[in-house]
Amino acid sequence: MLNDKSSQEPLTEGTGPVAELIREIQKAKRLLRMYPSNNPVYVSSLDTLYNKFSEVLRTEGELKLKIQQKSILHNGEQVYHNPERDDNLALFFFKDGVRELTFTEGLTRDELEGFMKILTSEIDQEQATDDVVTLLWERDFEHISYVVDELYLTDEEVMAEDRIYNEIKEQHARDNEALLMAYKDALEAAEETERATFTPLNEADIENISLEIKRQDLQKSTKLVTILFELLYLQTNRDDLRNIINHIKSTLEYCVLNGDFKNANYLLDMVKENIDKKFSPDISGNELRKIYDYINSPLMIEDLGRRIDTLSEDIDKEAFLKYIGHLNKSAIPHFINLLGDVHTLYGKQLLLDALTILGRQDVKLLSDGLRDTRWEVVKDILYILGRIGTSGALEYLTHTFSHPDERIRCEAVRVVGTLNNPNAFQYIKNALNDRSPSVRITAVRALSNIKTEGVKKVILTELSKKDFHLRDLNEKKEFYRTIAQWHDAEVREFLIKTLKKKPFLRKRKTNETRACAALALGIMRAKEAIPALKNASREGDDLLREYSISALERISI
Amino acid sequence: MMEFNESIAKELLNSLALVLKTAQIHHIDNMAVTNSIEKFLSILRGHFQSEEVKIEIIGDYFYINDNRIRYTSEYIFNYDFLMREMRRIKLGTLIFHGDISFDDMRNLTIGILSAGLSEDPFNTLMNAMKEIENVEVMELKKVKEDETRLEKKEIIKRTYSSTVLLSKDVFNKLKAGERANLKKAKRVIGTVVDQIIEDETMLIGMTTIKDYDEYTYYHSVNVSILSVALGHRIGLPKKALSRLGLAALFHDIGKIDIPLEVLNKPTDFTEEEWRIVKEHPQNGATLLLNLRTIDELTISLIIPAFEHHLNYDLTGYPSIRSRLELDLFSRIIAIADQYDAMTSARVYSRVPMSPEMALSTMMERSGKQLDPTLLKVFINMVGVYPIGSLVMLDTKELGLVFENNPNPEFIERPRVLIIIDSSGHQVKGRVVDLMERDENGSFKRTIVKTLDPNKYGINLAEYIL
Repeated sequence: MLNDKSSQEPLTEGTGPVAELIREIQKAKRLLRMYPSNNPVYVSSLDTLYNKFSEVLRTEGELKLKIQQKSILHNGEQVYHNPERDDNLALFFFKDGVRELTFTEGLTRDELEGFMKILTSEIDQEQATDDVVTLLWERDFEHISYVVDELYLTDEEVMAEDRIYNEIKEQHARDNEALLMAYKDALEAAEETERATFTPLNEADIENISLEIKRQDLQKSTKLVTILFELLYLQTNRDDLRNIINHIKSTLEYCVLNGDFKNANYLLDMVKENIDKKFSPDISGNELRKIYDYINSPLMIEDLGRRIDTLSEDIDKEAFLKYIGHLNKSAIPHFINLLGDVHTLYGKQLLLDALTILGRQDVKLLSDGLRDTRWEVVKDILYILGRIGTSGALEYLTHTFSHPDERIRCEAVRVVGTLNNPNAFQYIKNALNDRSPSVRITAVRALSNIKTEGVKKVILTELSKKDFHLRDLNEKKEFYRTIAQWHDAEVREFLIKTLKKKPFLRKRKTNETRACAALALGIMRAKEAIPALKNASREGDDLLREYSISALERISI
Repeated sequence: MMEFNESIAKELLNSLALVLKTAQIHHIDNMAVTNSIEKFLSILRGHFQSEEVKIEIIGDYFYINDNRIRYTSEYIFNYDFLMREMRRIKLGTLIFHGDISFDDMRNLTIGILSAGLSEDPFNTLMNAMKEIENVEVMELKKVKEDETRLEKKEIIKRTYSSTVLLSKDVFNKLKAGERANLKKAKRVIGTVVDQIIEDETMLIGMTTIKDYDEYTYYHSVNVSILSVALGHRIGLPKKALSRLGLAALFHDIGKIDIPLEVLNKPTDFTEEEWRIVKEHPQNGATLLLNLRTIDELTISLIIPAFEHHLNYDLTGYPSIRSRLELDLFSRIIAIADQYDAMTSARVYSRVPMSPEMALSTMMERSGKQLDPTLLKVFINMVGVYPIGSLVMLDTKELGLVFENNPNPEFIERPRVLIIIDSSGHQVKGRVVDLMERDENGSFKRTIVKTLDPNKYGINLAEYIL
């Protein structure tokens, strides 16, 4: 036991490479606990520690550490001392009986990581079923050994042990006469007891056993689900039935938390199969409905979100999406909440897929997410609405056209362009006059999908505007590329006219516009424009010359 | 010296086993044999180059260049084969010096095969070695002497009693509605696993201890030990063995709610009593579910608790609706459970079956109630004369089977503790090996008859402890 006095003792920092290594272990312990194993901080602190270990083992050959209650010794010298209870490396090992730790040369990075995982495990929690010795034992390290003082047999237990054996001996008091009688019988009787014969294993037996060993861990969760339902069928009173249903719920949670959606689906399929059944005259599977409430609850979905982020690519996408198919529309708001909190790309993709499936059940409810204060969430919802493609979604998203964030307005225009809704055109047309060039570009791209005479006129009107030539080159190019999709005389003449236009004021901007017209004529492969393009290709403006030459080349191919 | 690479060492050992295996089936110049020799040499040359390689048997393990080779399920059967073959010819150490030629390896294989057929195997091998350069052989060292054995016996006794105490503690705590100490349980079972891995014989011997009054505790411990030993035989890794041991310890936990007057009833059960008893698998599973939050360990405990009375053909109890495939742990525990139950005295069955009768009965249930492959392994493990069998020898000596023969081909030749000598006098503490031969090469002693020790009230504990 640590006494009260100890708290006044100072933490002693040893010197030399081993003391330094112990300090590095503690530092790494803190960092490894904080970061997931794929984080660069985790990786680099483990690397640093591994290098330090390798260095010490190269010089020492082996590193033997004696563990005391508050201290760690190496070659009789104290390399660590901590009088405090908390975060005490010596006490961590000492309390479970570890008295010596030896690291030998050849220690691998994986072994060190395994060892550090033991140091960072939460074995002091009440629910924990492992102590340090069990964890070291289970890992069975090749280059880390330990000596344990078995504290488990107390004096009381030793006495109990003696009692056990004495009782057994007394129970079968030796009977010499019986023994001699047995001998006599054996000499006289010819009777032979039937006995088993030795049957060696054949190749098939060996193969079967090896296969079973390999797959046995994989099947245990599925088996648990099967057993839970067998237990359910065996129940005869309502309280016991409810108890089993609670365990079914916990098992579902366990599967989800471990990213095991295959088994979660198996469980939910079983729920579905049994929900309308009667197990006895008084007991029906109706109570199983609460499993559905549970899977759609904010708590469960929050857990799911956390696991999506940490397990990320370990999650089987197909099984995950099948799991989502078991949920109902009430889960939509909870999934929307998760959208802004998931950090991994794969996790985000899974959530988008999930909301696409769920959103189909209630587009209006999904569209409520468009009121979210996080711009990225609104953008994601718009993206999902686009994927769902229901034309009715338009009425829910019109307000996003005036969203203060241009990224949202862009996405809104893009999505509306994909909805097969006759009213979409008006919204996109309005967006051509948005204050943001990105939104205008997106709008003109969206219009290119519609390709009607009306749209052509709208674009030509935009291009004819007095100040259009003042816009950014990229935007102008996008507009001209779009208009080039109408291969008709009206467009051709408009473009040739624009190309021929001689600049007076703002020469550069006008020539940019002329270059864009050349680009569009090239796209249209308009032979009628060759003379005008040839003239333009001889002009002094670099951009105009380059675009005209390239258009001529395109037309002549 | 080169750094030791355990996986290469394992491969080397496996390839040596394959050389001997194929050479036992085919002619030495058959392509299968030459290929396996080439494979062995390629590993030896490729990874150990011209270094000395020493393959040695110490206890139940192989050591290569003083490094213990840990068993893996992939190779376990070939390792067992190699261990058996080397022990059979009393070959304890093989040392390969420098560059070994194909002819050396071919001649060594022939030498080992001829030794196996010889009355004096090791000398036959030594003669063959005269033709072989660069390979050295040494005789297998005698197994542990009595002093070490006594020390070991004390350790084994302590492990057994700790496990019994643990079993009592777990059952009593759960009965009182308290939390069971799983940390301690895992640690105690860890020791059981270690001792089974090191030398299963003595701990299996301890399972012949049965307690009539506290049957359930002892039975759970015995089932746990036998299950771990069987799991080890089929190559389960340490961590899985620990889970199996715990699951076996908890397999009857559902019995805690059965009234003692029912459990210890000396007459047949009424229909209602049977119903209560038959509910213990489902009660056990439910109790474990209520005990802990779901995790891998809990799942490993729940499944056998529910399934251990379901037969291989899915008859048995509880009656189930699904066509499930019984879990490996459940099938192992079912075998250990039946064996220990049959060989134990209980209130309603004062005279238990003799071990060999129990095995014989279990063989009849093979493929119906019990997994046939696992049962084969179990019989090979406990022997056709399990520890504790009362046997009459052709020398008119009466004895108790004390330790099985590790060589399955001589499974009917265990080590026997003589309790009455050939002149009919009681004797104490003399252990004989039925593999011993006389000057003519004939076995000195052979079992001619088995008797039921329970029928005569013979106290096994007297000898085992």
